[in-house]
Amino acid sequence: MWNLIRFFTKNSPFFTWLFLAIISLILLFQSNPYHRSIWFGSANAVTGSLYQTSNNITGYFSLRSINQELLEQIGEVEAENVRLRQCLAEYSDQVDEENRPEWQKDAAEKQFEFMLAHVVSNSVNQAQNYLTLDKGEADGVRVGMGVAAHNGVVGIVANTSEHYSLVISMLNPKLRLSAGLSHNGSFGSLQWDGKSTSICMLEDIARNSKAQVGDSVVTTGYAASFPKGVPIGRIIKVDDKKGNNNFFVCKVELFTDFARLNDVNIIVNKDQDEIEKLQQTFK
Amino acid sequence: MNSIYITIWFFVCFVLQVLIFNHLAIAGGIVLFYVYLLVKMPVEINRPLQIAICFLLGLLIDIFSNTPGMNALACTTIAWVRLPILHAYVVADDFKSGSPNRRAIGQSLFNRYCISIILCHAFLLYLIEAFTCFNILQMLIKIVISTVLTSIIFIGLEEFMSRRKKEK
Repeated sequence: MWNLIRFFTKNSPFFTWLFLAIISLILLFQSNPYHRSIWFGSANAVTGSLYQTSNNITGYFSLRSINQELLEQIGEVEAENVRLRQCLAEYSDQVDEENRPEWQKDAAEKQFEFMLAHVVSNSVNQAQNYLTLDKGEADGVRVGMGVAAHNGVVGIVANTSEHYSLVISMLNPKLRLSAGLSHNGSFGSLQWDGKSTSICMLEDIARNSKAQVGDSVVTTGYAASFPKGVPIGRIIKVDDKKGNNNFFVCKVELFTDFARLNDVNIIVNKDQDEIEKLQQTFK
Repeated sequence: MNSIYITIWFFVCFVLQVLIFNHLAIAGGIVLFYVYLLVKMPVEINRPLQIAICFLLGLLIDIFSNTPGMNALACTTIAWVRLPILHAYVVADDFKSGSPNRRAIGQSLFNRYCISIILCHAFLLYLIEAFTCFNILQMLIKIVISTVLTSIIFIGLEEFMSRRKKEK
């Protein structure tokens, strides 16, 4: 017995290391993004509020460039508005709004809502990136909701606490998003390859889809997280060699600048519960 | 004295790493400032305690950067092999107490000790990270960048600290 105790005390550094290393390994390998404990992430109350304080200060630094970008965008939107008004004036006597069936209006207008949230912590330099937002369960955020910035997709909510939520970023190989070409509707799955912070790979696009450099890529709306047609990025390279006889791979440049995210929209699908319940019954 | 020294450096390392250095990346490599605590930990503290303190620091940084277990594992392991690395450069009997510094063990030996610890840590850290997303070339670039940046900062900091002590 004494020998055993002596053995342990003599090698105590090794056993301390072994014990703590096992704890670390358990933490390392249980990290399924959808089941990660709220205690070990930047979405719990303590870490969230520290990041919020620091973000209140650093948030001012990028205001100038963001302001510039917004002004440019307002310009574009105004131009588009004028153009659309002209179109509307032309067509208004041809199409009678009142004759449209009620259910069509409802689906378009009422299914999705947008909730503005502030990014309190963000990373782009890790192998798996996450964001923390300052809206949580108390504000109606649920796991699985989509998140988009003003110009493109950002990610999907992976975990929520009362006032904060953790978003699995597009720059994370664990996230696969259903995405398609905007002009002909053929689709594939979009995933980050871990290299550049502005490029994702669109895989499993059918060979007959005639994808070309410059085509824009949008969400398909097959998952409940995003409505159809949210912009994602632009194809910068069509890789014929990867993939197989029927499918190939495209390089997509993302519209969202992940290094400068400040304000994002959480997309609330009012029918999400219903859709998920329906899908559950089939499984 | 030692406990105050460690507590202060613990929080300095943690706050600087989480709020500043985690966000400054060059080609994916970041400055691993918190390794400073591992480099400067006084040698006479009992070793299980040293390992536990470093584990705690790693765990805190993990919690704040959403990488559960990654930094904790690297920190714990480096804390364990730290003394053997130090003793590869300095004879154990020559240096029994205090934290390793430039005046006690000499400029070139300190630099070599410092760079070895940082290199081991960076190698281990990015190896653990690469378990999930494997890309050897990118991993090597990250290791080199992190090691170089961190070494420059630590050697400069040591220069500054030892000069300030001399003036006193």
